[in-house]
Amino acid sequence: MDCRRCRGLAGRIIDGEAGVDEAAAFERHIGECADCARLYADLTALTAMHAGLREIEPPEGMTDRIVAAARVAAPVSGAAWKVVVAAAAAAVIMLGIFAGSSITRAYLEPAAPTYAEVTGLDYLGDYPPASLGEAMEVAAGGAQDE
Amino acid sequence: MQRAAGGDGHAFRLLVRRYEREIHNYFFRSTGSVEDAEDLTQQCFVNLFGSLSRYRKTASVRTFLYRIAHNLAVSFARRAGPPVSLDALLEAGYDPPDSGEGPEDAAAAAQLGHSYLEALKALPSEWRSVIELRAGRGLSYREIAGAIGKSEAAVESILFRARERLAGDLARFLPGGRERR
Repeated sequence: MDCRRCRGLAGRIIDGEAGVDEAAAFERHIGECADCARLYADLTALTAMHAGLREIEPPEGMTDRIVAAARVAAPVSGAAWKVVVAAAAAAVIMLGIFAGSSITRAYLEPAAPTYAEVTGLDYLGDYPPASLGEAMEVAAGGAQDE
Repeated sequence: MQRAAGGDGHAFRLLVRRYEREIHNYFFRSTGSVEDAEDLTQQCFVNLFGSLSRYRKTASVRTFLYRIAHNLAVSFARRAGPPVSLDALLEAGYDPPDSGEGPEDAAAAAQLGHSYLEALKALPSEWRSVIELRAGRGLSYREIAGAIGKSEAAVESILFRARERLAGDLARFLPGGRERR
């Protein structure tokens, strides 16, 4: 292994990402090369510095705040959309059935019979002249005209 | 994760509890601000909640979460500029390194931690994020690649350049640097 290859590999060795053969070759090289050994020592020290940084604790109640914020900001999920669409479709269908039955009833069901039809008095026709019936009809017609 | 994706609120709460500390620390190291770290942590989980239905088991939950976190951290850095000063961190009660045994060791360790954080925050935001994901959070190259949306080779290259820069800035604290002086 040459120094250039060793420099390229040092980070992967530090991070535990190198293969067994690479690691063995690296070990052999830094055993013989003081410059690469120093580089390796520097990278190891940097990693230790980072690992030495303290962690901070999340503030009190952060979990609750996050969960509450997520609920408020949550978009309607795909599953929820399916429910909404299905409910809307059902409402439209129900409305259609109701309207259709009303129209059908209005056109196809016979109209209610008139009083004259029920009593069978229609055949009498007009009242005889000067009769009380004619007088009442005239009076009623006059009242409607006014 | 599957239960949380199915709308199970309790499962989502467990997910938050499990990862909030490390995500909060990731943002704290990225921004240098306790307040910003808290806001970004909250936003990160809100975004996660909103994208649960898109989660596929091709990536681990952690990688999926850090993908959201990394994007937030990088766009935050673009908006907000460099992280806040270390003095502000110290005022906020942050104690950078683990102290040594005696008072001299403690002072030296504090100086080292101070300098390390200064060098870290001078890195480009993406490099800082990748260094933190590797050295702070322990993600593998593959996981980091998944989180930042780049190849493993790109991750390795970023780590190499970031460490080279850190080693240059911190040479006086490093064994090789001391020997070279």
